[in-house]
Amino acid sequence: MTSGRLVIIGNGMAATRLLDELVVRDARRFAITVIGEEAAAGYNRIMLSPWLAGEKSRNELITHPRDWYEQHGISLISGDPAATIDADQQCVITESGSRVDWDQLVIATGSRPAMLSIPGNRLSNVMCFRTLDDAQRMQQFSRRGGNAVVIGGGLLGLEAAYGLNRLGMHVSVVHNGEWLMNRQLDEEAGTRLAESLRQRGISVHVGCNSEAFVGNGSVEGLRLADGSLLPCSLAVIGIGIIPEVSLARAASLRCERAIITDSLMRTSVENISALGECCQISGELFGMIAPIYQQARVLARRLCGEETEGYQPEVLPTRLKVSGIDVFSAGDLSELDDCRKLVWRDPKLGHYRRLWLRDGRLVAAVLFGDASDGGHYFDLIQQARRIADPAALLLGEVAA
Amino acid sequence: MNAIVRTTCPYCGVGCGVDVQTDSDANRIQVSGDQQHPANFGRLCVKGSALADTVGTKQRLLYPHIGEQRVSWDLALDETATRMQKVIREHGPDAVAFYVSGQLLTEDYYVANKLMKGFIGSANIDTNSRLCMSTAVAAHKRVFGSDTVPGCYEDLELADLLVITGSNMAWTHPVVYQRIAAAKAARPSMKIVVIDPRRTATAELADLHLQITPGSDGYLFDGLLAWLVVNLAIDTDFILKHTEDFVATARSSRQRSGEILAVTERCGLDEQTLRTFYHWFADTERTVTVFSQGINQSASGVDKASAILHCHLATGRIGKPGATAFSITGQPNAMGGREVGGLANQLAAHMDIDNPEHRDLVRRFWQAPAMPVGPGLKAVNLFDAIADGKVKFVWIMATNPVVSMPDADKVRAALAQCDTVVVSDCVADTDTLRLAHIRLPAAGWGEKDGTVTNSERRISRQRAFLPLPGEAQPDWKIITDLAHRLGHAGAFAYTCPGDIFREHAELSAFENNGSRDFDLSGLTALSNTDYDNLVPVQWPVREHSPDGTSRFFGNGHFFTSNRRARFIDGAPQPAAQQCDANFPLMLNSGRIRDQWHTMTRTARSARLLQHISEPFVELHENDMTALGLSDGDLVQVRSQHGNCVVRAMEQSGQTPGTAFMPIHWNDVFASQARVDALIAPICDPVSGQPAFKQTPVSINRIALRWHATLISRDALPLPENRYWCRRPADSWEVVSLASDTTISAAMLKALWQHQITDWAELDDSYGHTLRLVGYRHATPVCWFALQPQWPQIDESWLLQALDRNDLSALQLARGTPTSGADCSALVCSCHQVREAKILSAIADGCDSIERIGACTRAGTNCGSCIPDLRRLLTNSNVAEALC
Repeated sequence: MTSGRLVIIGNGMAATRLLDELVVRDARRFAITVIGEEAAAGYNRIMLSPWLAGEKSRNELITHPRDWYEQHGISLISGDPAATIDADQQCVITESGSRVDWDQLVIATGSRPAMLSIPGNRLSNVMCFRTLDDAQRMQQFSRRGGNAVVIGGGLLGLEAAYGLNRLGMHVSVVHNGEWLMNRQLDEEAGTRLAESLRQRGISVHVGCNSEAFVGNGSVEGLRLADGSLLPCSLAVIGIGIIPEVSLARAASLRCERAIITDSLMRTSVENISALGECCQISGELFGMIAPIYQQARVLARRLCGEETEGYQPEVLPTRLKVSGIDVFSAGDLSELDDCRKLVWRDPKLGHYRRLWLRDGRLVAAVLFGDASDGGHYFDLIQQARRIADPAALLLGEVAA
Repeated sequence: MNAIVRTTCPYCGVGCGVDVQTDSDANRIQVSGDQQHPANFGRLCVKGSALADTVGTKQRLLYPHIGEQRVSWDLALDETATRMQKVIREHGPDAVAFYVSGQLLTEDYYVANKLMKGFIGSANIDTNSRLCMSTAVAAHKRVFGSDTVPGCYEDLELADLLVITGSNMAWTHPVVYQRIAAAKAARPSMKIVVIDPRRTATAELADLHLQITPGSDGYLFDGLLAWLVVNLAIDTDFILKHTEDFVATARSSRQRSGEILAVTERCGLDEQTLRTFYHWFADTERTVTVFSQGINQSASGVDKASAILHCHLATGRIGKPGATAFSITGQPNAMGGREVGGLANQLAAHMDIDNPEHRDLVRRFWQAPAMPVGPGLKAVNLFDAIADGKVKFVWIMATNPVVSMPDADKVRAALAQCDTVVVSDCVADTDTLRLAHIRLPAAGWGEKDGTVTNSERRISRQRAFLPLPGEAQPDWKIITDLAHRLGHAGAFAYTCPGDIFREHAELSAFENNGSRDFDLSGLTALSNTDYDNLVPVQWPVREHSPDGTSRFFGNGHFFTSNRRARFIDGAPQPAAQQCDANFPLMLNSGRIRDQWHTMTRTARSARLLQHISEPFVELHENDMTALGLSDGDLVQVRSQHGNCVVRAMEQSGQTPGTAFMPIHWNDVFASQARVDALIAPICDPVSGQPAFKQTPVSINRIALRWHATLISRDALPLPENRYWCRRPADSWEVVSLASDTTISAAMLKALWQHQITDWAELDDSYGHTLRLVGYRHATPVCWFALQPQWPQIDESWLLQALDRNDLSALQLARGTPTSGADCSALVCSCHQVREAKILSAIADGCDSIERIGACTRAGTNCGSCIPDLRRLLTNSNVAEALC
């Protein structure tokens, strides 16, 4: 017995996770259709960077091959993106004009890379880094060698830069913040990160605004605000993401920065749900994988008629590997001037860590080089427990 | 390995025999107790067991120096002789002085005394034995007519009642204490009374502990004599035959102390306890009273020691098996020094400087050109005379008076302005060496060769088993070479210690004929080989007693002119100084278990600094609370004479209102912990021995911003601080530091930049915490932790980790292993057993010292920690009873 037709727009990590959650409950309850923009089946976007860097194989990337959909009776429409949502008629029209009717619609359109609005951004070989296609293009391009510029010294940009570096290109990173990853790292960690990237042959330019891409047809360089020119045959923009809500907006769903969704993942329109990077709950947007997975579980339960408390906001640490360096960040680093700061530096191993305490409680932590104690610090930030011996804590004593 | 060399331990007056085995190139030595030596029968205490750690050329004085200039021996001795002669020429022989030591061997001592008293013509040779034994000497001479120890160690085992007064022998004479403990274990009816204001480790063995008011011992023994008389517990036959002035003395005692309540009040004892003690003493024929520094180091010490001797004379219990008074000496050769006459008021071979016949006898024997007519300056007066400019040349041998003398800051100032200070020592740096104009490298233990005499008059050979390091020379050789330069080559024609010993023995026998106690007539004909093979022997060694003599006076025959022992009436005195509002606490001072004197040798052994590693003042819980102190807090201890900065420690053995500090720490090892800087130069009027045991002090907590631990390969310059204490730990140096200044990682890194190439660091914006791990290239060479309270580290783990260099700087910076290692107090140094392990063994049912030993090995080697084990056992039993 089916509960009707369920259509999911999007085939990214939010969508595939929702499918997983539905499958374990009762795969045949719904007649599920997935409409994906990308040609590929389900893959792990997080693994694109290691794949680009040659640290993972393509097989390791693919989480949901086509036959998985078949096995579970799920229709997959790929390479024919949804063009409009008709909320009244309860159907989706694809670009090719196909009509797909639904009883329940889930919007999981994710986000698009932010574009840099400067002259020359339409030149060929100026690109973003978001999809498997993007990664494949970068990989192909890098075979020619030469110079690449990556704009954006956040996580995405640095991963692109590291990947291109590993593929043999001379890479320059241009970042408008005062230091790399300035939202996740303090200045010292950002500076150390830049130093270690430089040691790996990546040029790092911080506090730099990009003024224009120059070139004749293809990009030949990036001109900075200070007038200097970074020659390049490839420019990758990795300055952030923008939730993809054009379909929803066109269908008159309530949107702000993203689709307004309640904690049960319901949009302003009945029978239409949203999750992932394209949704907004209580003013909050989502870029990390863990809350999106939680949303997928909440939504699956609701759709299957199970009790659910709804999505619970969670503060998350940033734990990542940048160019082989473990980096960890937890807590809000924007307002810490009034805090007690404890720092550990081990130049021999290239390790660095800093804790911020307010009223004897841990409020933020940055680890660089060795992130193994990150989870413990994260828990303590969540618990807001008084720290008896902050120095011992900094040195990784679990009992502190 | 080479053959075993039989020698003796260089520390306390027990004089244990030590077997030493060296490997082929003498890099390593192994020590063990000499099974045959009658002092110890194979036992060694923790200090003796660690002797191997203390030898070697590191931190040794290896070459003669004039000022900072290394010079040849010829130059150094020429300069010494020239300066000495100039002073004698211009100011007379009494303007020069020797200050020598119970660490010298008898042969060294003999030569020094002979040179000063027979050839320079002054009696200004005094010794650090003034600070520990001169009171016993004076009491012996006053009462017996000679400085004679009447009994022997065996008496301590044979006694049915053993009274230990003024001695924490569990820590200061551990092997004798263990012999007593073994005797009591074998014969539990044996009773032990400990008289001490502190409940020390020694009291763990006591059937009765008299925790008397500090300094009140004189009243206790005066009262005892009165009690014995009143209760007719005296040996009238002995008194009548062998003593004089008993009646008058007994009458005075009865008048003063015949009422037991008068004694209980003076001594702060309850009546029942006192009666028990007096009863036991009266009723026990085989009674031995052992006394030491608690009696000797007093402004009325001679009267106190005399009062003890009186009680034994009145009961006829003197020099009989298991019945005698017994003075136990502090130093390895205090007795030898007394035998050669090394004190300023002695002459030689137990002869008196005041006695014209003795002076004549010695002059003739020595063919001495210049003899003094009366006593020289005793230690306190000697340094006063240096301060006053009357003594302009002083030669200090093998001792460290800037640390060990009372009013020690004044002694330092006196030496600092003395025209010529010559110091011969075996180590490179002491507080006293820092003031020397001429430094002479002396041979140390294991390098020198001669004899020593222990507390029971037993002469033993101390033998060399190591080559002389650098240009070091034995003291007798240095003094002899100087004597040659002073024109006395003929009288100092010694070529080996045996030459000197024979002369010493001949002098003891010279015109003796039984008139003097000290008589080595049976040893005058020793060949050098005989001397080398000399087995331990108790003097007198006479023709008819070639194997020595265990006891004196069992049948009277004292060495007074009428051969009767003298009762000498002396009214007991309270402590010379009393507490007041400004100085409300009474400070006692003494030794700790694992250190010796001013630490010049014992601090070379890391394990001897594990039991107690820093200077401290012990206080009763009530005083700790009243002063707002926690264990380990730094305090200033102030007296009228000086200041110390040490750690406060709670000690249940203290009575409220009293304090205790160790005597060992000095300016080489700590910033300000010379306890003798606090001590007033108040001396017994007869013996000249200073009163080290009762000093009114005030104690105040010091407010400090930070406490720190620094561990480094090489000594590093220290930042500005209020307190530091350093100690060697194998190839590391550990420094505790505390200060009220602000400090930063940057300041420290700048201070130590020459030694360190890379730093790992923990910095704290509040300035509360700093951790630094400094590397020279890839090797950790410096570790530093600073925080508001003392850093808690597991030192043995950390030192091993630094040595192995297999942990990250982060792991090292923690200072403790991540898993819970045992950081509790180290109890057994030999087997490295900590308190937690012992407590857990007790909890598991180990209800005796033996069982604890079987289970943990604690206490099974040297046994020095057995009192601690007993305390842990007792405390556990109490805790169990309360549950």
